[in-house]
Amino acid sequence: MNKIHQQELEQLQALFKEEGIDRAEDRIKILEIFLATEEHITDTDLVKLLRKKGYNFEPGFVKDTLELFTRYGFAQVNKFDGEQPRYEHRHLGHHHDHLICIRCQKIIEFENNQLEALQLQIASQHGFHMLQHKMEIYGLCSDCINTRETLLSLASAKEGEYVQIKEFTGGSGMQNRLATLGLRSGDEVEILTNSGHGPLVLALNCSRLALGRGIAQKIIVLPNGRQKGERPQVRLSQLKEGQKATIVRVTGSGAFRRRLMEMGFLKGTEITVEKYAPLQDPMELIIKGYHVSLRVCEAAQVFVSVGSK
Amino acid sequence: MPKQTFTVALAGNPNSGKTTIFNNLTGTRQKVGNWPGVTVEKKQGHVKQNGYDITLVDLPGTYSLTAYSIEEIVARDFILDEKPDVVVVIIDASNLERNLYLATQIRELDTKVIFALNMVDVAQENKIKIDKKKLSELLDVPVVPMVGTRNEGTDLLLNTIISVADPTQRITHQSRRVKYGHEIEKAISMLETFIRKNSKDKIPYNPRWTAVKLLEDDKVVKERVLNGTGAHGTAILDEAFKGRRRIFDFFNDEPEIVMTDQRYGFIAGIIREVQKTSSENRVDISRNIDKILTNRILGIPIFICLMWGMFQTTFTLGAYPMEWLDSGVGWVGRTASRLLPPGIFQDLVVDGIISGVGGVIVFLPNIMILFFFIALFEDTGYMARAAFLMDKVMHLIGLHGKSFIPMLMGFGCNVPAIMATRTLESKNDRILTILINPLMSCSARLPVYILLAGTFFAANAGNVIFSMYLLGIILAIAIGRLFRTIFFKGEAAPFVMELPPYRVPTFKNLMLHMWDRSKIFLRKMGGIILVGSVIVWFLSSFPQNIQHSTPQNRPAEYSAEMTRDAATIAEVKEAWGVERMENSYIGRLGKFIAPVFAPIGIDWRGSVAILTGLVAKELVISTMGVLYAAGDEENESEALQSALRKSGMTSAAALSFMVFVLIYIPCFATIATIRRETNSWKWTFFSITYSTILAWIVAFIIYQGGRVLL
Repeated sequence: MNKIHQQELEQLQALFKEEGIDRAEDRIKILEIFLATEEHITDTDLVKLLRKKGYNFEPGFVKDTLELFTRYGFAQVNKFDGEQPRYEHRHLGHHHDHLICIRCQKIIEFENNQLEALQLQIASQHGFHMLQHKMEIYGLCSDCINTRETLLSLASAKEGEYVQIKEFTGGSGMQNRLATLGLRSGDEVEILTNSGHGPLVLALNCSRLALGRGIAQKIIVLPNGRQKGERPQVRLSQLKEGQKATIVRVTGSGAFRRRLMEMGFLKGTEITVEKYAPLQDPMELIIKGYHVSLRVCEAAQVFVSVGSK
Repeated sequence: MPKQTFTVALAGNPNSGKTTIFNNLTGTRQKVGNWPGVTVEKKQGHVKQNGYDITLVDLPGTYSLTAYSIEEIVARDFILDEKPDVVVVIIDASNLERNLYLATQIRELDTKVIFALNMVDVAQENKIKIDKKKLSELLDVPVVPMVGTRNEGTDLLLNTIISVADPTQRITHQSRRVKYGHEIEKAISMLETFIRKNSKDKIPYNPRWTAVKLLEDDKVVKERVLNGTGAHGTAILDEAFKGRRRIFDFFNDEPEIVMTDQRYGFIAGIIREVQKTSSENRVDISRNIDKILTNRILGIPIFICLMWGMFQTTFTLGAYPMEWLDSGVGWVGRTASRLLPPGIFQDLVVDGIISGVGGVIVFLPNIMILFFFIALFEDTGYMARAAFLMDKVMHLIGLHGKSFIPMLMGFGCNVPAIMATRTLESKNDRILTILINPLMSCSARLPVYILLAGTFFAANAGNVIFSMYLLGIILAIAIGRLFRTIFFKGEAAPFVMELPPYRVPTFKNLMLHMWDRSKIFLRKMGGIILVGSVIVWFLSSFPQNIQHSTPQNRPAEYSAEMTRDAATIAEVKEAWGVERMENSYIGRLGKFIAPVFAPIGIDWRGSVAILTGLVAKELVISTMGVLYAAGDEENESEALQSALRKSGMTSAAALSFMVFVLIYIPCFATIATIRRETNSWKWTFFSITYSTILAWIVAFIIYQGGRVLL
């Protein structure tokens, strides 16, 4: 236990005695454990931690104690991005800020005197008297970047690049909304326009889709060509007459997908391109032993892997 | 005493041979109409067997029972609301897997079901073995093997229907439902419990089925739940939304897609147990036929030849019976004038009713021949190929490949052409095709072009007439695209169209098909045409007591006095004719609206001709004959030509007149057909209005431009 922590324990003992707070002994035990961890801890996590160390306190008491710590200036409460409140040590005369990883929820503390000074300077430029501040930087921690180095946000994809949608970080509401537009995880899109500001224009099968930059930032994509171990997927419309393939997935609007699935266009089903019409447009396919025609543009929404199973 | 009468619904995929089986069961005792409120054809028939009286209803052919198309909604609603005693699902044995999709959906509806396994002969040829007993056991449904084209299995089916329909028989297949995956089943049972608790028995459907449909976001069921239970409905929908959300989060895909997939999974399990396909390279005659008929090089020429053949046969072969009918109508007219005492009543019968209705009835041979061909193309399977070949062209206008044939037929007569749009599945495609169809210049408009182009553009008559046809086509494309973007926004229907195997049609089916549609033409056209003809007759023959400028005597007496001077008699008759027309209501109406037509170079006589042209385009010429006083009986058309030249009509005005005739409302028969086929007065009036306004605008441009240039 370091020196500051020792000091703080003693201060707390004195304070609690002076204020006549009950169960001071228990609370001091809690502070000991709290100071021993360098985590940003929630009250429920602290209860668990205490239990591990052999102290069985009721959660209400622990929460109450943490609030007391906060009131008397031994702990500090943080609410990151709408999560449960997390408590950390508060050492007088010290201030630090946080880096928060949006993927693994890791919180990194940092201190930067230049930044502190800069804040004061900015405040005074506006004739503003700064009382306190809170600095939270959200992003991906180095571990997360290393493990998923190939992933990037849709907003940073280059024009002309083909990318595959991997993940939506904007919550299921956004995901639902995008799904109704026909954009789902696993879909391949081409970036038609991305000028670095303003909306992006994507080609999704046969339709163009404009997405705001804000939404695009919340969509994680994998640039195609960097994929490993997967069989190449092509659009059904890219096949030649007589070629056989296996359906990988059907994209497009809900009604269209459902119609195709009802007609038997299911994942894993074998399909043969019988012929293209004389004017090149609709194409004739054989699936599940019957013949069906699709417009080329519609067939482009069906992804297949070439060669039968 | 068991129930003696009951209702049986026939359901099945398109091309599963449903119509053939229906015809086998009912013979000619069938009634064709529309389902209430929609333009989907409804066929109904009766059978008497073993003292039972069975009403058969042919449901529209669909691939599934989702609420995406009217056909699907109609079929589903019939089973749910009318509660037929038995539903027979016709299953194409040669394509069991896809056909079972609809069949399992119908099984989910809580009704007595029989599977009619049709085309077992085709399946056998294709080396597909189906274990009927096992299929029946697995799904707890009676399975009847049939060969519709050879009328095999019809009696067995009837007897099965009778034994199953017995009200003492319970629905047996309750226990064998489609089993969805664990997550979905959980969501279904949660929602089902919620519905049981909150619906207060106000939802008439099985709670499990309602739950499944709500999870699939079925808009029709959602609406009914909301209407049926009010505030509780909102709670149920909220609960359903939560369920959908959970499924979405779990599978990362829309629930309806996941459920479709799982339903097919269930079917795949059944297929594995009941079907054995022994050979890979089976002989596929259809495929070989298609190698020629939809061949890259030959496909389109063959299609054009077939279309040309159909067109020629319809309008040249049809011309003979048309002539007989025409003279028949003439004979009836003459007989009526002989039998009836002269006077207003005789005029009404002869000039109003007989010539009006007769003018439409003469199209019957055309229509029957045309529908024979359409039935032939549909029953053989060529219709789907025609759409396949022409889809690219029609897609330019935002239409489906199948719209090509109605558009082409429009050059003959718009009435059968508009009726031919019945082959289109999408309602939007159908209405759009109907709206632009009158722009295809029908054969009745040709005499007008011939007369005017011959009179004013003698040297270039052919080119002028051709350019009229061309103008019609260009306008159809432009208007089609415009309407598509204004009224029928959203995507054109996806072109997911089955290309069924070629089949030899049965003569009985062809005849029934043709006769069904011709009957509609006869019966339904009759009423409106009759009323329309009587109105126009009234307007053009009243008021009767017109003060003539020449002697007041009746023409007969007058001619008796001046027998020697035939020319004068003719002149007087002619002058009287003009005066009668001029002073009749229609003449006054023509004069009244003449200012509207003045900017497009048409005088009051032209206006009257256009008004009478509403009854039939053929009347345009005959009215002009009367009004421009081209009396001479011997050489009518030449006389009319010179009369027209003398009347001061310019070539720009003639061009404008032709354009107007090309574009404005074709005739009463067409209007009646549009009304009937769109089943909406709104679209009918829209069609009339837009075409008249468009006609005026284009004629205005032509006339004013022509005045400068010509």
